[in-house]
Amino acid sequence: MNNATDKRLLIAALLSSIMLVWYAKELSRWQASKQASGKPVEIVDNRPTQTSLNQPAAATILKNEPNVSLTSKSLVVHVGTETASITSAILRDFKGTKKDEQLLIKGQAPLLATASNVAWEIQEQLPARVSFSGADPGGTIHTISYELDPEHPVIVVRAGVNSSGSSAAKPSIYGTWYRSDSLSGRQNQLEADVLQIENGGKHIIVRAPLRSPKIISRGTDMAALSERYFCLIVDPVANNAAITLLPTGQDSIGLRADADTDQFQARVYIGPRDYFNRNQAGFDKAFKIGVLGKIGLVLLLFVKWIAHVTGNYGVAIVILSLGVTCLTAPFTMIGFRSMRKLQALKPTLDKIMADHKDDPKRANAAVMALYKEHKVSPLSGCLPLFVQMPVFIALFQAISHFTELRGQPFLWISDLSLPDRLFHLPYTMPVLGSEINLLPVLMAITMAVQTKMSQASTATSTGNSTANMMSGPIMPIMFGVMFYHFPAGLVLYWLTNSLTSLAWYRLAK
Amino acid sequence: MQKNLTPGAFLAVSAIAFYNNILSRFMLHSCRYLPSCSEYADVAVRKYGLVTGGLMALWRILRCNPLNSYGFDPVK
Repeated sequence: MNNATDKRLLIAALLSSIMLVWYAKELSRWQASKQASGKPVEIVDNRPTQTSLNQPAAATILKNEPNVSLTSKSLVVHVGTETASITSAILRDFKGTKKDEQLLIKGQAPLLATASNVAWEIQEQLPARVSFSGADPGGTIHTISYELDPEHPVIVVRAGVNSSGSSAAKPSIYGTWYRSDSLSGRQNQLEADVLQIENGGKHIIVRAPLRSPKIISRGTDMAALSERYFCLIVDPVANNAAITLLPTGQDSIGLRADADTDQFQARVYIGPRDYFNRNQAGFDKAFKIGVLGKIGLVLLLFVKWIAHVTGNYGVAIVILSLGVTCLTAPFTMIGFRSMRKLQALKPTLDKIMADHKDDPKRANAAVMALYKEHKVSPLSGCLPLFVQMPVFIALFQAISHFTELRGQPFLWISDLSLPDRLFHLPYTMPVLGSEINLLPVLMAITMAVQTKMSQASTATSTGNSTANMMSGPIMPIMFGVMFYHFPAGLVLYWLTNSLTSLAWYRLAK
Repeated sequence: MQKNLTPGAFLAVSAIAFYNNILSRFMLHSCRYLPSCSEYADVAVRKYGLVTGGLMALWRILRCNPLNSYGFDPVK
């Protein structure tokens, strides 16, 4: 029997290690390749539909061209005057890689572009608005204008085609997002999220890199291209565009919106990806939020509020964690005391169960009587424990795209959204990488101590050697490795949680 | 008791053994019942298979809350 359990434990441990390897692999897939390949990647568009017949190819590669700047409160965009495309944008509220530098969004293709075979000329230029018009080789007149929203990082794009002749050309715009935020570090997956109007708003989510163009049926509410913290969202105002997601290489993701009318208007958001910022600009629906996501948002709102009061996100996370543990502390204490009483009663309980094996009702009555006699209050149960798990997952999910955590310092941690990186090593360790992160190590130690304490008090050691070894040194190490590349903010939450529970254990003794 | 398990049931029983012997040591014991929910799940899956046993275990976990009864509750 013991042997069989051992075998099963080994299999379970094997499964866990496979999970771990998969996780490490997944992580490296997220990793942004720092040095983009030398030559720009051309947008491959082999759509076999009839619309592509009259569709001019996009301005795929960033040219060296004269440009004009449009400026609003939160955004500066550079518009190339030869291609009438938005070549780069500066998010004024977010810092870039260097100190005192604002975040520049720029890649090897324009952020927003339109028909490229048109001889564009500026029609009108104002501080926050520029408009172009020009004729294509077939003589069709095209127009496009960009206008910045005064409050939000939003550009209103109006594109038109004057199809007086035989040409059936319709306006279309191209969006491309390159990984631009070098502060996001390893976990920077590029993805596209297209919200369809039908079926109560279905989200189509595609992760980069794409292998072939993905055509999405008409009726798109919003189409977003995003990296971890920033995104570009195209919202066709009349919902009359067909979206095609385009494969644009390893470090970018692209889309094309083809209108079905001669005039096309879209609101384009270029800014932080987190819900609160998007919501202010009216782009709250752009990314999928499940039930867990909603719980996560409530938690984030709470963290935001504490951070607003205390002025630091690290402090806010510690306070949230302390708060949660202290709220549940009375239950923890009761549970701990009951557990120790039950431990003492175990031989008697085992005897009752053996005696009344065929009569559960009488066994139950005997157990209840025993509990009453020794004043054992029943524990809170397994369900509350199960309910807590999704809350942690929700917090994890919510924090992973919470732009405000980006670049927030706490103690020695320079950025709570990244691993804490105490030292940088001159060489690379397998799985762990070339940085020493202190928080996960502290967490593993706390866990080991916690196990020791609970083992000492419950004496559950069954003489099962595999189990003892796993729960002794191996599990804390495994958890340490698993949490090694997690954002420091999350590990901080967990560490505070473990330390407080340790304190409560001590108090209950 | 030790009858042949289907692969799915075997995996489930392995996972339960992993939880029971290792993971549970990192947590406070919180179950209201005897046998505990994880022991119950183990017995149920062995006796009734992955689907029925799994559903029984799920129902047991749902019942294991402060609003419900406590005490001796073995797999039938």
